[in-house]
Amino acid sequence: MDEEDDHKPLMLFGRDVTRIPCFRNSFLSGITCSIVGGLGTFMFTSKPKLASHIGMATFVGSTWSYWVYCRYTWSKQQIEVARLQELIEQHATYAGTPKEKEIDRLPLVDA
Amino acid sequence: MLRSINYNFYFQRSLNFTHAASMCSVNVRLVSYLRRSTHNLNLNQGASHIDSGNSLTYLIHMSKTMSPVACKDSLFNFDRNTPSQFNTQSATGLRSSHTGINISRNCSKPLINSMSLLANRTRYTVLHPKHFRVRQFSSETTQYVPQVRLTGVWKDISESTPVEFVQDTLVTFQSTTGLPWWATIVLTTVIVRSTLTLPLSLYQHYIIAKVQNLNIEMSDIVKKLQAEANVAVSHYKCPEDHARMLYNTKVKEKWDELIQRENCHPGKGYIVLWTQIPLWITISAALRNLCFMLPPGRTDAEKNFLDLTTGGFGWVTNLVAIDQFCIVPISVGLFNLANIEIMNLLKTTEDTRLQKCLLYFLRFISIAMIPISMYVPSCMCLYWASSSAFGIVQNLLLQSPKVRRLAGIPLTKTARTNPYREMYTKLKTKWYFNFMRKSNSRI
Repeated sequence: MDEEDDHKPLMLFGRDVTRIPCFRNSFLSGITCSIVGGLGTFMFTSKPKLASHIGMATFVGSTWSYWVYCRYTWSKQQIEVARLQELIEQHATYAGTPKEKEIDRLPLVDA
Repeated sequence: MLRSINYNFYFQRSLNFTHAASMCSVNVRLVSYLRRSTHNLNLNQGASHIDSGNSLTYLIHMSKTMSPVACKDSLFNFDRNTPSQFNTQSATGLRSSHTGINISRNCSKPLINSMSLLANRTRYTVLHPKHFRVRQFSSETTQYVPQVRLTGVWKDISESTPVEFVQDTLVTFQSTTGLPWWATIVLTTVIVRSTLTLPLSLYQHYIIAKVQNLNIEMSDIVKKLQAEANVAVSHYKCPEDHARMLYNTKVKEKWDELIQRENCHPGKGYIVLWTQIPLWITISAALRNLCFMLPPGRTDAEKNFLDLTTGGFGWVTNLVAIDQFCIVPISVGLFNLANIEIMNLLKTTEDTRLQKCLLYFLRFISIAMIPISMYVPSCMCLYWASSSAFGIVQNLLLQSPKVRRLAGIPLTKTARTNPYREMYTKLKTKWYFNFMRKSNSRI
């Protein structure tokens, strides 16, 4: 997201929502699911009112569930990146000392 | 077989180019590359078409990109149309004086390697900041390369996922079947329309027939409700407005109930429209992408483009260019018009005012499609024509009582027992039919 700066900012409540991770995709998935759910219900039951209710419900439900899932994986990645950053910094500080060799000798496992 | 002929054809074209430009060292080397890769081509032709195709298109690409040398402040400043020999000299002059890239450095490298290096180098030459104008020598006559930049919505459509999916599918279909492009386009249209639109149209007719049958049931209910409302007004002193309102809501409720019972909401018929229009747009956009080598950066764009330029039929040999005789564009309009007229003839009820307006509007649109399709590449035109022709066949087929019973469309009051004969008798009353008959008898 950082490398493409040519897009237009979309300001909402004083914040550029295009910069929020998962924002766009959760809405896109919500819209898709609501169209599929609503139209599917209409085609199977011929009840427009019920179909619109179900469309709305699937929109809200899928938007939120996608958001939660996406943010969870995103924050997990962020934590891993932070740990990695810390380790790299540590490695840089120990460069050329006997401790570096000790670290290098450690097995490569995800603890 | 056809493919290999195409390739030979292109190869000859590129040979012409090298023949004209063989004086400078660059092009002497190019000739050697060409010879070497013709060797490859001959070897490959039996084994794999695609490989030989790629190598040759690459060659053509090379011969094309080799030559363009733009010069704003070069020693020689020429027009695009000056003889190629002259341009060659300017190109060599430019090479030594401006870009300063030593071209004859990697002569002894293996073929592929030096080819890629060559391509890289020529790109440098083209993109040099001093040289603002790309000039091509000798490729002007041998090959036309479209330069189209889309913006806005058109760009979004051309680069969208469904369009790219259709584009890839078309290319894969063409390369696996080995059919010429015109046959690929017609066959794809027939397959897509018969697997997607035909069943949905059958479904639409099924829904319409069911609704028509419900109307009969509804008229009894309406009569009963009217009687009830009359009784309420006369006996129980119910105000007339209130009674009418109650009656209206009750009628609507009953109608909804019936529709839900039979599961045939009339809006379900619009699914045909909602699939057919996006489909039409998507396939048209995919074909246009293939014609103009869009979106930029596709590796197989040039190969498909070259295939399309010779993948035509009869009088349209080049599917990328427009149809010179305007036969395909006119047939697009005529097919659409015929479709509308057939639908008009098949109507069982009198037209309302709105329907008449719509009819004239559709007639106008189908005529207006002719000049529009005269400007689009003939492969798009071909798609439109074949799609409309399929539409006519489909509409006629869906009137047949046998097909209708086979598809499980319920029998209705207004359904015709022999629709084609009735259509013909109705056609006889039309002015254009009489006009044609009179002019025939006069001859």
